[in-house]
Amino acid sequence: MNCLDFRRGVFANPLQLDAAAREHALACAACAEFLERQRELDTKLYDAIRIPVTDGLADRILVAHNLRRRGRQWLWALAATVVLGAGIAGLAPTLYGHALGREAIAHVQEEPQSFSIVARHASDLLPAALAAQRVKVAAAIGEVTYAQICPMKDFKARHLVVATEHGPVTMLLMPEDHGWRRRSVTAAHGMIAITIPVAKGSIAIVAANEAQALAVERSLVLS
Amino acid sequence: MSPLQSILSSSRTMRFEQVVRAYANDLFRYLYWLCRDRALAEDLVQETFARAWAAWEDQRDERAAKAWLYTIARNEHARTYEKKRVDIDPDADLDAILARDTPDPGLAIDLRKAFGQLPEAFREPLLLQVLGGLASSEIAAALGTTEEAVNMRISRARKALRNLLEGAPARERTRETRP
Repeated sequence: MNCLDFRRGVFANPLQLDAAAREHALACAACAEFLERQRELDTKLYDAIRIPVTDGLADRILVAHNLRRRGRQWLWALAATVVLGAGIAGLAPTLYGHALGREAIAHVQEEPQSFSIVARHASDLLPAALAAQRVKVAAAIGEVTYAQICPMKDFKARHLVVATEHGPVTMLLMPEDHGWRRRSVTAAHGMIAITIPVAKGSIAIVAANEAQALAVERSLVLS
Repeated sequence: MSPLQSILSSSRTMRFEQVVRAYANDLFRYLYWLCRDRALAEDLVQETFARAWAAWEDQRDERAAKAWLYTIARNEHARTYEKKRVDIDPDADLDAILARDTPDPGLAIDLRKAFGQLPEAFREPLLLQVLGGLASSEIAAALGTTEEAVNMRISRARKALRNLLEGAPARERTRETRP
C-alpha cells in the first residue's frame, strides 16, 4: 500500500483500517502521524456534535407509547418479588455481568486516546496476559496497538486495544475480578461488551459491534 | 391473553425498552443535526420509536436494530420536510454547545461551524459514521446509495473539515467563548 491509498482509507474511516493499512502505519512515520491527527480530529468532532440531551428523554418516549405501565404496579411488584426470590441464583450472575459490561464500555469511552495511539508492543504481550488468566489463544487475534494498566471500579484491568482484521477491539483483562458473573452481552452508547468469566477473573471484549467482539471471543480457549 | 403470550409480550416490551434507552439520545442528536431544532428533534425521536414499536420484531439483533432505527429517523425527518418548510438557523445551537462541559469549547464551536459548512450530502454520512457508529454498508442502505459512494462522500467531508479547520486563523478559543 502506498501513502496515497493509506490516506484515502484514513479519510474514509480512521477506526477501520485493514491489515495492509495497519502495516503501512507501522512502517511510515508520516502516515502514522497523519492517522493520529485524523483520529484526534474525529474524537473532537464526536465531542462537538454530541449536544446535550434533556434528561429523561428515554422515559418520555416509553411513557408516550405506554410502555412504562403505570397501572397494576402492585402486580408487577409481586411478579418481581417472585422472580427475584425464585431465580436470584440464576439471574444475579447475568446482572453482574451486564454491570461489568457497562463499566467496561464507560471506561473505553473515557479513554478515546486508546484508539489514536498506535504503538508497537511485544508480539507475545496478549497471549502472555491471557495465559496469566489461564486462557489460551486458538487463532491470532491481531497486533496490540495500545496497552495500559487502568483502574476500574473495584480492581485494576489491563487495557489493550487490538487491531483485528475487523477493526480495533478493546480487551480489558481483569484477573483480580472475583465477581459472581455469567457470560453477558451488553449494549450501551453504541458499543457492545462481551464479558466472560475465566479461570482467573474476567475478560471484557468491547467493540463497535457484536460481530467484532464475537470474532475475538471465538479466538479464545477457556480452561 | 394466555400466560405464555403475556410472557412473550413482556419480553418484547423489555427488549424494546433496552433499545430505547440505548439509542434515544444519539438518535435525538442525529435528528437535531438534520433539523437544528431541539423540540422538532424530540418529536421526531418520538415518531421514530412509535414506528419502530409498531413494526418491532424480537429477532432483530442489536446491530440491525440500530441501523434500522437510524433509517426510520431519517425517513421521519424527510417526511416532516415534505409536510412543511423548516427554517434553519445555523447558529441557533451555539448556546447548546457552550453549555456542554467540553475541554475546549472554542474548538467545539469551530468544529461545529466547519461541520455546518459541509454540503449535506457529505455531512450526513459522516454524522452517521462518527455519531451513529454505523458501517459504510449500513450508511449506504440508509441513504439509498452504494458503499463506494458513501466512502467517497465521507472522505471528502473529512478532507474538507480538515482544510477548513487547519486553514482557519488560530484564535484564543476559550477566552472568546466565555464572557
